[in-house]
Amino acid sequence: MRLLDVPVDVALEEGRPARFRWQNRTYRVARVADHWSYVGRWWAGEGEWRFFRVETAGGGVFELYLDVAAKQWRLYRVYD
Amino acid sequence: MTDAGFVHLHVHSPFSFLDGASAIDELVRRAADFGMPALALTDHDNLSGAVRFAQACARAGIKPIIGCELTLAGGHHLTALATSPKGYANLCRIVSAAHLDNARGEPRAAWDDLVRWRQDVLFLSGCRRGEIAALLYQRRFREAEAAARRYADALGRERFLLALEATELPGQHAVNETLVELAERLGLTAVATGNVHYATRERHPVHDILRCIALGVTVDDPHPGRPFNDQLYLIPPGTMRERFAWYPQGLANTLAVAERCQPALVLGQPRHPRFPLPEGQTARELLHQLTWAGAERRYGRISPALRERIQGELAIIDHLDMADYFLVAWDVVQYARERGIRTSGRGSAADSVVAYCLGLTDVDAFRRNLRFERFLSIERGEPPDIDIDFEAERRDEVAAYVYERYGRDHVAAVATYHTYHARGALREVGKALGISPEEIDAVAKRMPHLPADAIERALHRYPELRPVSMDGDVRRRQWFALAQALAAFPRHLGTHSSGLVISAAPLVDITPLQMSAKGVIMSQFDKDDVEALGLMKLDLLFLRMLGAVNTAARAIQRRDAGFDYDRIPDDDPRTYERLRRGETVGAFQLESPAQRALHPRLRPREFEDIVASVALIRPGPIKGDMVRPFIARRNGQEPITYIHPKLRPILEKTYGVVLFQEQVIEIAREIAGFTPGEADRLRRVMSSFRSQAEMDRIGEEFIAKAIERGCTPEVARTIFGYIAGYAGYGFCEAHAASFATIAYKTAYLLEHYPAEFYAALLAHQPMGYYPPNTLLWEAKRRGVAVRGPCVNQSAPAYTIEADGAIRVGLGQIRSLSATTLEAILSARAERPFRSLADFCRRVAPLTIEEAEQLVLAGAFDGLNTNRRALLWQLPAVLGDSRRERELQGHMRLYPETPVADVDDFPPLERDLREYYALGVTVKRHLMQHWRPRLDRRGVVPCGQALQLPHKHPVTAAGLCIRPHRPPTKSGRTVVFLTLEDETGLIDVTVFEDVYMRWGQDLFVSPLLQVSGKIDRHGEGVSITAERLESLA
Repeated sequence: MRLLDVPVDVALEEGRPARFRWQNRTYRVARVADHWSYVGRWWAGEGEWRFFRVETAGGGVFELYLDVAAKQWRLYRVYD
Repeated sequence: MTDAGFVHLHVHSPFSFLDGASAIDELVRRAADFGMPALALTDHDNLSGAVRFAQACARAGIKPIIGCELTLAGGHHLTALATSPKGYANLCRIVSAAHLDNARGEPRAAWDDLVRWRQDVLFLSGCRRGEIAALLYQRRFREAEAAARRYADALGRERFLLALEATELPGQHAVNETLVELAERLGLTAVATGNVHYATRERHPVHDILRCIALGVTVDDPHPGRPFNDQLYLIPPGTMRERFAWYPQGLANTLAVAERCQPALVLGQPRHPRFPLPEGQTARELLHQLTWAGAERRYGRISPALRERIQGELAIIDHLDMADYFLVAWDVVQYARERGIRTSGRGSAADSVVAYCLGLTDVDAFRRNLRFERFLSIERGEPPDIDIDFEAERRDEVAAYVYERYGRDHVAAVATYHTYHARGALREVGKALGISPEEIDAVAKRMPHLPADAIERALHRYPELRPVSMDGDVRRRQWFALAQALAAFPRHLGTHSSGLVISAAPLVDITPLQMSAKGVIMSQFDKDDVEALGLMKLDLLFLRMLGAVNTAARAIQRRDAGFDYDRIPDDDPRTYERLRRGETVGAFQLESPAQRALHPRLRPREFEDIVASVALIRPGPIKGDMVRPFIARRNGQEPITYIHPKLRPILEKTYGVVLFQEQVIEIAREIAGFTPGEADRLRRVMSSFRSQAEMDRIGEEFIAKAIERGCTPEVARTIFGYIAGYAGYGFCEAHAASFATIAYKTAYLLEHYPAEFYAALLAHQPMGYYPPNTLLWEAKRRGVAVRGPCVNQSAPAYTIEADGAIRVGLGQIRSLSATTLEAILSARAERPFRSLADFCRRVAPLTIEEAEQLVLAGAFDGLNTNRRALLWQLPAVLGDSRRERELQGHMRLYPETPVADVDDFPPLERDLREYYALGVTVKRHLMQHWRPRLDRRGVVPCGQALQLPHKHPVTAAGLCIRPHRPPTKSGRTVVFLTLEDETGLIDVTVFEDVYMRWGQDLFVSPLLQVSGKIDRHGEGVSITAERLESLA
């Protein structure tokens, strides 16, 4: 399990991650295992992060999140 | 409004104490705007919000579902909803038992109680802290199913529902899916819920701050008790539909639940108490009997008009079936009188001749022509509000009697909701934000006592806040904004100091009960909510002045056996002369600077003038610009005119000026034809003054109706102007009259028996307007000798010695414990103390701190006036005495420690230490130490300033007493304060421009120098300030 927190490109389908690109590879999401919303340090200006734990076609498990205010997708965690 | 198709069943209001971040009105309004037909309220372990919630829902046109989120014995949560009044009563019982059967502040609902009182209650399995959900989050599926079976079997499948929460937490969706499976397997219903703690997502920071305050952490501390995200809001139906697209049945089921819930709370239905009656007599009969007997006693001869009045009142009381209320109150007053406890009825009860005959009040409503309807009317049908003042120290005896008389199941104290005000909000929010204690202190100390939502405005308005308000600082702005957001939120439940509810039926069927900090059982509802429930509320109030009066009367009787406080003549010329001079420091209601400035202008010469003055110096008449015209017309300086002939009979007795609440009601009825009900609404709006908007609405009604009845628009508007200006704080005549009686009599005592009266005032502190030091020095200025505390002579309280001197009591001394005080008294009873060593040997327990304070207060001056030397001696002497006591005094091991050879403290230090130890200085006034310096600067003593002519420039200095900012007619700020030095008191008025320029230190500095001009009005004097400076 590795904590990364790096920007990634994510393609959505019906509002949920369908594909994402990381380290020059494209991963296809087979299933969204869980999703949740987290709000950070609002007093320091942080906002909502929307998390998705996804299982990829290749059998990997990843946690992606959308930094809503920055409109940026990031890869948070990889489960090895 | 589209149909929402969903109802929120799990909702927290601010009555979840530090877990609800939106006001009830906000939540209800939003639900109504969404088209939800109903809304539930489920605060933690209490129903305090239920009445306001039901009222808000009625206003918004949606159905209130009364519920509660219960904490169970294991710490798990369970949501309960009442489906009928029976269900509500059962819920009250469950909640009460949860509180009363456990340690205070840790309510736990017992499983057996849930089962026992489950009828007409629905139970939802709860949030993540519900037992079943908690097990599912831990993936303990079998145990979760077992638990669900257990709940369903015990409570009933039709009564126990599984709650699916949609707040975007990790793992939540999987848990929800499992719950649906469980529901299908066990034949239970599953409902979709939010977990509402505020109305909109923007309120999340407020919620998080509240949680930080509750948990005692700062925002930088992670804690599982803090919210994970901002989804704890009143989720809109559309969003709920998206989140439950996989199980739409969950939403529909909430509507079914709402359908099952009938109104659980019935408001406005009087629930009478029952007075324990003698055999074969009805309450009605007894009341009539007592009233006529009392009438004979009070009036002697009963004229036809009086008879008609009494019969009229009794008829209304009979019609409303409220004889019991009067009997209950009468019985309480009898009990007090029999035990020599001084009482005085106040408030609207004084509008009743029956109350006067029963001895509940001392105001003759017949002679004063006061309307009974203000107190009790058929149209309103509400129970009468009976308020009685008792000597503060003995009031609890009377309360204990009530509990015993009616049974502990039928009496409870009324709650009070301690809400956030500006200072408290700033402190707690500041701490949660991690702001330093020094910074918090600097700001909070300067914040005036205002509601929290006045913070922003205050920062711009008040000069003393200028040093701390920083417009550019983001952190500060965040702090102030969050503090502001807590406005009016209840922080915790307290006990109302005086209100009791008494009911015929067991109280626990109507209100949940819990234990108060004082150790009495209290309702979870406050006085307004208790009234809305139709319960009888009896206010047994503490009036310290009554205790002081009793003490003074007893002291006076020791030297003048014929003295009787109740027979003081109401026309004593010397008393009125004193009033006209404005020398009334210590007199009840007449001692404030505003009062003392009024009397020289008003020139009171009879009792009615005192009634007027008590009613005049109130925010209502001041803002309504009544004071100046009243005085001018009363003194024949202005013609008395009425802009409408109908005003004459109403305002004649107050020289054409609106002074009393009753007059406002009369005007509304006579000019605008308001019905008694409408007039009463006006009264309520006026006395609660929560909203300017409400007042404006009534204004429009008034003016429209007045015009209909022939008034010109201009006259109608002017007349309403009289009323509107009055809004909020006018006295009712009955109340003013009750207070005026006490006020006059205390002024009489002040004139004729200053020593006994001042000693009594000092013995009953804290009370009154002025601090003890001021009272003591007033007494001295009146020529009363004052002697400091003495270990050999003083009693615990202030007393009068045989030669008429006041002796300061030992109880005044800082940190002296009750046990030590008793030890002193019993040791002294054997023989007087001969020395410090002798004292230390014979008095135990005695801490070094107590001994030090005794020395510094001068309690040993009679044995040795060198306090510093005694202080030096103290550790050794105390040590020796302890050792000797250990050896049980058989041997005097050590020779008496010789007194140290040191000089005493210099005078200023001696006095400052005495002031610290005692709260007063006895021999010298603190200002005497500054006098040489002040003389050199041309600063004039206060007593001398009082002699200067009108408009004379002056600079005076002194202790700054009670600076305050009452509301004024212009709405501009004026600050009143009193300067005190060794020669006297002089009042100072600081107008807005001077206040803005120089007022920075006004509320924080104890010593002030004031420059300005003398203002003489009638016989009174004050300084109009032009410049202020701190001396400290």
